[in-house]
Amino acid sequence: MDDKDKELLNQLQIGLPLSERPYGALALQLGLSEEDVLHRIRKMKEENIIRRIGGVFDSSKLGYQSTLCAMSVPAGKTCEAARVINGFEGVTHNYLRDGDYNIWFTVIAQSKARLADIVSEIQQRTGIEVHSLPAMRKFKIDARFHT
Amino acid sequence: MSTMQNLSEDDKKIVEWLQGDIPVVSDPFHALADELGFSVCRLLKRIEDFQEDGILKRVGAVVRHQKIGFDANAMVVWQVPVSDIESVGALFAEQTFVSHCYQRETLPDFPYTLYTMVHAKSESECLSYIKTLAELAGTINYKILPSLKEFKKSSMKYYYKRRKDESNEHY
Repeated sequence: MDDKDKELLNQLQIGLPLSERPYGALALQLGLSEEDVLHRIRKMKEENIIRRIGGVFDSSKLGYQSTLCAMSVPAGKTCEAARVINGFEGVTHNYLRDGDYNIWFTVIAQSKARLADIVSEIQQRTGIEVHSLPAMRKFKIDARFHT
Repeated sequence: MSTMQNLSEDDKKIVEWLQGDIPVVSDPFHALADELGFSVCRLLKRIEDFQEDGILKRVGAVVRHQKIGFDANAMVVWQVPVSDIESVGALFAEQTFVSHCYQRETLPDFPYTLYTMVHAKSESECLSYIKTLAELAGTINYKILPSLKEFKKSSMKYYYKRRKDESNEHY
């Protein structure tokens, strides 16, 4: 990545201009040609630096419910538990972490009832207690990275 | 104000499209506008409405932060007394290296009230950021939970219509 790529990536994380030719508008800001911008973005996608270009929604404003779950899974059973957990479409993040509670995953569902169903199904299928810790207050969500 | 209840079928199509990967072509909005029978201008206006209503936070690149050097990340949980949550939460949220800061319910054996995600370019940088937060918070207990393995990371699909060939195992 050169400096122009970094600048482009920073701009692209702030936002794709909402115009007929958004990449052309970015090109103008950065002093590049539209063709060059398209090429640089395609390359960063190929290199997996950019996961996708799209909308980031506020799940709660769309009426969805979310939670973070913690489990204390014996060392030999973490992969099997992860496989069960990952099978649910509403599970968006799932990590093995250091600590007594070692599996942490997030779930998003269309209703509180559906969320509770997913949590209890994971509990039932793994045979391990799932602790749901919904957010009581969100102070910040901003997963953008300045390069 | 747009809520889930009053989004039209066209709106839901726009939401669904925006959750995909916007094509990297000169006029990426054109095909969807055609499909909806809209002008591009009308489509863009609707997307701006979503942003104003807050249902859409932004349209832009989602990066793999590990790929641009942010490969030292930790979840850090803090035992902030509920009376101080407001001020400590606001202070933490101001730090650029904090991507997420939430107050959550506690467990009897896990009394942490405030959850943060810290992102850094090295282990030592990550620890120094955590130290900064600890100084801001004052004398409180906290616990660092580094991630040992990523089992899954994906974007949620809202109003996603599953194709026939996709698994319906859980739904």
